[in-house]
Amino acid sequence: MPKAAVSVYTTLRARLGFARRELEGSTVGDLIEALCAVKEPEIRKILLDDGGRVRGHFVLTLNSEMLDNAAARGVGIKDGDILHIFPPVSGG
Amino acid sequence: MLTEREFLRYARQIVLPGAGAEGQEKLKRTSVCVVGAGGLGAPCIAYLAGAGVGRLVIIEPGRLEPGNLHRQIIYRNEDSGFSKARSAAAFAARLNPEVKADMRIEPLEEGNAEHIVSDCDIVADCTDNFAARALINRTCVRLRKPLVYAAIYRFEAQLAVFMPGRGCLACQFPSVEEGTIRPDEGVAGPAAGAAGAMQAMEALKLAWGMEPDGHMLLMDLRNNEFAKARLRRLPGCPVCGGGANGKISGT
Repeated sequence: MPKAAVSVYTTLRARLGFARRELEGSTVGDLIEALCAVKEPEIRKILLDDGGRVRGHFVLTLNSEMLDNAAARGVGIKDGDILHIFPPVSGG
Repeated sequence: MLTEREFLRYARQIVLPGAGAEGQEKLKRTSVCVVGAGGLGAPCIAYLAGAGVGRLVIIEPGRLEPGNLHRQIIYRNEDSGFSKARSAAAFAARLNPEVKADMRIEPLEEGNAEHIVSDCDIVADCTDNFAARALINRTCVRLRKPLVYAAIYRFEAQLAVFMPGRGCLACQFPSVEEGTIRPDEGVAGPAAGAAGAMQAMEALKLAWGMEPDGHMLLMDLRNNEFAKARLRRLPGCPVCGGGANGKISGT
């Protein structure tokens, strides 16, 4: 199974207690499930809607390219990929 | 033409590759609208004034509170209770009398945004809420003004430059969840300072004619990690329309 680095920000980081973790998965969906499994059901509720889709206010980037949230789960993962998950922030 | 005094004042900047005396003259002819004079706006205003940007328009309705001072470093303790726009303009004038610092002690709103922004070359979004950011984005798209965006949360910051016709803030963040992140969750002063200074850097580069790199920078100053996300044009973006090349990359 490929290993990818997953970086999280803001509320996800606060709830998970880490900023980056190496996770295993063949797709972005696998990585998201692995992330949810770290702290069920809290992370799942934050990250996914009732249909299991990544909530619209989170941006996912794989190797610096933004993903379409609707299709993100099916995107393949290679060893060494880097997935970032972040929401917009508004502070100033 | 630059005066001898200006050559002396900006000597270390004029020798920069891509800047030069011509670049300094460009700065002198440039006006930057800084919306918000808080944690982001304070360092942004300071560096833009120091660099010799011709005109700053500082938009800030608030008064300085003691709780602002750990990060809003252009203000002094005795400025507490007074208009931040006024104090920021006074700071800019003290730092560099060559700069014209205009202040507007009012929020940017639907009723005044177009009028204020149309008079500026570059807009720096240094606000602290999604509603203001959305308004600034819409206004910049409508008026085809470059927008230098930054936002902060605790030790984290996001920075991007949105150029007319190349995607906008709403293309990156099609939806926000107002209330998820509260402004009272804290902010590290130097994180705001770094992001605000980088906004000034991006505005100067735009004025000098240097192309922005087309990415959003994610800064994590707790772990000193920096990442880039390529900016996208979202097909059917309700603000800018996305455009023909609006394919979401990476899918």
